[in-house]
Amino acid sequence: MVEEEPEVLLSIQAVRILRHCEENTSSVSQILAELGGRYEATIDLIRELSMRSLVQITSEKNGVGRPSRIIQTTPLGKQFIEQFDQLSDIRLQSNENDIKKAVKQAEEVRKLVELGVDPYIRFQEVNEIARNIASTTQISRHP
Amino acid sequence: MKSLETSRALRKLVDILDEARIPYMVIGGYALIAYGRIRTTQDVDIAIAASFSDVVRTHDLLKKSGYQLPSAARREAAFFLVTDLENRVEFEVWTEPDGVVFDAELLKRRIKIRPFGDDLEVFAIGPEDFIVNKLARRSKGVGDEQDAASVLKRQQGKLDYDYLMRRAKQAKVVGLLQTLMQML
Repeated sequence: MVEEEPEVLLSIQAVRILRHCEENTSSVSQILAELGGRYEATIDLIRELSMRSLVQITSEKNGVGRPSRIIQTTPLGKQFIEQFDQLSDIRLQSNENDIKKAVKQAEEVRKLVELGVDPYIRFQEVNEIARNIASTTQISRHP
Repeated sequence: MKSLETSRALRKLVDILDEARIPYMVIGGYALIAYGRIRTTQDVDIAIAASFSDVVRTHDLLKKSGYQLPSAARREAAFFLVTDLENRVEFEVWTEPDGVVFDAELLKRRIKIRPFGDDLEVFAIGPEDFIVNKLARRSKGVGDEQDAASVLKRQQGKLDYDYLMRRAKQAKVVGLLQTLMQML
């Protein structure tokens, strides 16, 4: 039987949690405050990471009420981050078309500069249009 | 017009940093235009060369000057948000931008830009450090790689490649940089 590659290990959010809990032991609410994301999804992710021994969950009693659950990255989790970083250093997220597009945009700016156009002036024009579109969209969404 | 307000807000912020003798540089989308592609951006990103005590001092100075800061200075935070309420402009102030080592060489390599076409001239990160910063971002996406690629293309032959490679090694992004350069 072929074991399915767990998607959680490839999730950027999982790596962000591991990194965060490597530097600071945190509760779920602290993780959510720092990294964002949905509560349920984050809980599931932390459970999954714990099942794979990448984080350790301990309970900490703080006065009255339920004890908080503290999450800390394990040595295996730290090793995982290192391996992930090594892989990330050779793997681009862009495809060839993304890079071609950026190269074309750079060439267009170079031509503009050669024609004596200040790219910042052009940027302000484009930015203003984008801002107007964004504010119009907001208005129509929230009448 | 928003660009006028952004210009006013940036001038005010830079004056405060200059007076406090805190070296700064514009990073992100506003710096990119000087040496790469043009893309839209709403926030202004600034990096400051500051120890933690300088960060605390900057927080105090900004609060006294009427800025809104949502949180107190935190040692582990890579950046903090500053809102100029008068001009309604938000800044991301980075104290530890990814892959950037604040040393004398980096500060010397800053360039001066006039982002609003008026008389406001501010420091921006140099193109080589910009590329490394983009490739070293922890939450790096396609847009960051496109930004870096656009600088590599527009500045082809003009960059200090030895310096770029040295900084890329420090930031552990040599592999990414080489892959990107092969794709141009």
